[in-house]
Amino acid sequence: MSTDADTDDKPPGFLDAVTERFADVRVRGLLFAGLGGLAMLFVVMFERGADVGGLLIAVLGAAGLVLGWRASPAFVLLILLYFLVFPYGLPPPEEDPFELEYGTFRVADVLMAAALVMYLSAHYRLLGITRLAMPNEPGGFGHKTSPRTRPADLIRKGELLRTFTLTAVVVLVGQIVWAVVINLEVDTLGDSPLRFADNTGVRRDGGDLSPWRTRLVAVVGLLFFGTLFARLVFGYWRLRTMTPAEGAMLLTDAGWDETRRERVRVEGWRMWGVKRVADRVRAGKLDKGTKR
Amino acid sequence: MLTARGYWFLTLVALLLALGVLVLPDYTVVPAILGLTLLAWFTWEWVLFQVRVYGCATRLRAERRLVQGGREVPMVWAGLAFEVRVRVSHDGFARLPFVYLEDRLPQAADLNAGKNGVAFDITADTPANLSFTLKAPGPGVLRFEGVRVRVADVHGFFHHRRFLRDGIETLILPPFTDEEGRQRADKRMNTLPPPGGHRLRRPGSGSELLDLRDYIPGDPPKMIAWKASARRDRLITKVYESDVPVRAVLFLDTSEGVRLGPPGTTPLARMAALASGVAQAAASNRDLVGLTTFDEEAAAAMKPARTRIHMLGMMRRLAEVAALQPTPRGAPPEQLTRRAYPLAEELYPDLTNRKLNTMPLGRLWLPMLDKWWGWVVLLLILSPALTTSSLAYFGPNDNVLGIYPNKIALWWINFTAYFGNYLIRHTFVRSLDGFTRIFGALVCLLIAFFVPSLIGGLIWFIHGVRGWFGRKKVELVQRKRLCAVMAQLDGSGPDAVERLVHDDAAYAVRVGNFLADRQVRVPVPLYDELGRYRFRSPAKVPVLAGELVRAVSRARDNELYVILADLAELGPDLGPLEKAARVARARKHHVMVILPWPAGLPGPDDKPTAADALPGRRPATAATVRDALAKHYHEQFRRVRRALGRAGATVIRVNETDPVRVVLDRLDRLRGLRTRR
Repeated sequence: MSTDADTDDKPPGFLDAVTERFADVRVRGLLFAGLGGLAMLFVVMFERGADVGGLLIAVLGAAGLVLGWRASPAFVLLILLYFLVFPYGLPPPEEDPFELEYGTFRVADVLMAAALVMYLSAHYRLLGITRLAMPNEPGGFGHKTSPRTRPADLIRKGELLRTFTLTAVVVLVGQIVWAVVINLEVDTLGDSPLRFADNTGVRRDGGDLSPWRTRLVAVVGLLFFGTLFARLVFGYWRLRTMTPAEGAMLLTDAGWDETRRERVRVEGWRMWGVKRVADRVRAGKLDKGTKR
Repeated sequence: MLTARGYWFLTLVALLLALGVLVLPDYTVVPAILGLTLLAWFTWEWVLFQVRVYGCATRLRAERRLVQGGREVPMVWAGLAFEVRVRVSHDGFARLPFVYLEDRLPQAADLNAGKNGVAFDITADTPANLSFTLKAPGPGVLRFEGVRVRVADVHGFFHHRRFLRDGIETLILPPFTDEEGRQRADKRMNTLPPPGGHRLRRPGSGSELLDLRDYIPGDPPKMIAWKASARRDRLITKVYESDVPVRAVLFLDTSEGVRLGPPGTTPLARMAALASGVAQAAASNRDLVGLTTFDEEAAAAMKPARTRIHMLGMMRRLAEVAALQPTPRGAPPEQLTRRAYPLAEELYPDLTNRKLNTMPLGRLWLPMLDKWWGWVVLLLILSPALTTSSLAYFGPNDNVLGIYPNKIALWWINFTAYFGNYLIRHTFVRSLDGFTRIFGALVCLLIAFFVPSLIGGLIWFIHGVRGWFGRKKVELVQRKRLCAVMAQLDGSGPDAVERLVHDDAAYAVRVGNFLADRQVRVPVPLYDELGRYRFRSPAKVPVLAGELVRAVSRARDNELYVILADLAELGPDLGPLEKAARVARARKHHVMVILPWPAGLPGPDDKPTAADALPGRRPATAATVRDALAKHYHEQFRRVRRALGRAGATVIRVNETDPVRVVLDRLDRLRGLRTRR
């Protein structure tokens, strides 16, 4: 026999759970920002002729935003990559001789990059609020692990506005870096191994390396020296903030590492002696307290 | 620091960038631009996170306060809820937008209300305040380790873990009054002597008349019994009884055997709570109470007194001993590591960091010469060199001590030459010409000559490389890191690291202490290799007997000695205690022995329930074993009761009626009257 109380005690359904997830207005703001980014992606893809790709991205991305799918950004990125290369869905790709020359600061590219960053930022923030914000603790002794989420109360006022600003900045940086990368040439005999290309032709062949190798050198060099610089700065900062206990552990470990071969040998012999005496005591050949 | 989500995202961006920069620009530059844009975004988030971690997370500080009864307290009472307030702040310049703080709960208390872990947004001006309520079930020591801090970015790409160590220990005093403030003692009859004294039938300055005697010059006039003097026609003087204080000395067993069990409910904790109840009830009647704690080796005594400071000291002592844990003697090192390493990783994430606490691959390599057959393999490896050296030194026909060892060497040279020739003739070397043929033939000869070295080297490599994989590697790495942490905590330097790695006994003691200090139960084996119970502790009987005799030698009046000890398994070893009890009884003192009783074990006089004795039903194996153990324990208990009863001591169980009431009744009997039921 069912009663009203029984009906009230029923676990919430799927729709209730989704509605509950976005009950907070700040969370809804993030959701709408992500959906806006997806809509912009669809429009730009539609304009490039990849309407199927745009639709796929929009549907998959929206489902991921609403349902909290962790893998949806990866699929969105892969589908986006595929339909950028094959706009009509099927190979072969069309080679464009003017793409490199006119491929910087195009409105459609800027909008696409901004929409993608906005979508990804909204998706990962929503994922942190609704599913998992930080990895589970290693299974330590005596406590259970539970997924940690970011409470919606911690969404600060103006967070969305700051995200928009950051998106604009990183889109600008991406365009500038690309413009620099494609305009560099390698000159092995010059004063500087890298220089800006004089001509702005379709194919620059003035350098000592082919264009793709030049781009590779530029991007890898940028990453390498950027990482080196960051490592230098934050490594020094880490040393500055090192606690006395950490410093002592560093010294202990270094001392152990330098002398471990001798110590292993000494301790091996010592334990051999201890075991030998214990065996003799056990066998009754030696009483405790007698000379060993 | 990079989470799995961050790794996946970075991988996708790298793929996008690689294809966009190297392969696709002739078709479309958008992937490269998108890759660079996403990389710039990711880099910005990383830099921001690093700044927050180094600028703020390293400056986090925690302050803790305990509040009970509406005021801040230095120690808490067992059985009453108390509030823990933790304030975490930093003086950094940036904001930590997402920090998860979790106060590590002490083992001796349970969460009563609130949450001990909450997410915060912390700035220099807005610290995080964590508040929750705990309740300690029994007396002991409350140890707070500190606050677990987990910092993450809002996207979940990065993660940083710290532990704000704030190790403080607070005593959990045994309760005397319940939540409503009711005392455990009963109201006495008005005919009782004033609190703090009992009648001693000796002349003194008490208030009760003891006797009448003839007047002796010098007696105070106020002591003259005028009516009796008038009746007898001579001066009679009143003699009053003495009012002397009642003394009770509690002997508490703190040996290894009573420390076993879950925290807060060990026999020791229960006996400490009982001792506390007795002590406080007696103290409320202004009786003097002393406490002697003893184990297998030594005892510590507190003289009977009734001051407030003495009572607080006694509570402190009881709380300290209630938290004692068994020494992990004989515990396997692997089990200790499995318990201790996660704890060390949790409490000392900075010291167990693999960048600071390293384990080089060379240390994991398994040395072959530790085995006897390793020398055989070494001989195999060196055999070509030894053969050549032997021939070069002795010559092919030299006679050494009547034998010709180089015949073997010559045979070996001939065999390798034959084998090398075979290789030259039957491999691709045959098809080579000119210099390459000479080179190939030389290689074939060398291979044939060094075949034993190659085989031996392969055995050596396979044996050694096994140390890099598997459970053994994990155990060794964890043990070394744990030993380094121990060495760091002790300040014993690199010497102690390798010593603890090699010496299982020293490792067990040190890691056992580490766990015991943090109130983590150590898995101790209960039985030795011969199947004997390891926690019988017969050595505590002479110690207890010595302390009892010592207390008798210092006693003033009739005293009550309450022994709270686990003596059930010590029937044949109770001789010294019987003698000491006889000494005490000979001096008119009272001796009472209270034994802890295992939880769930029926009393020796309890009748079996109907479910246990169903006719025609075979009991399960577990029930049979349980019954056998119960019978054994009952028999031991009866033996102890008989032995000590003969010596004049009263033996009761902890769960038999109310031991506190029994002890107080006995104190009343000493005082001269019984309590009204």
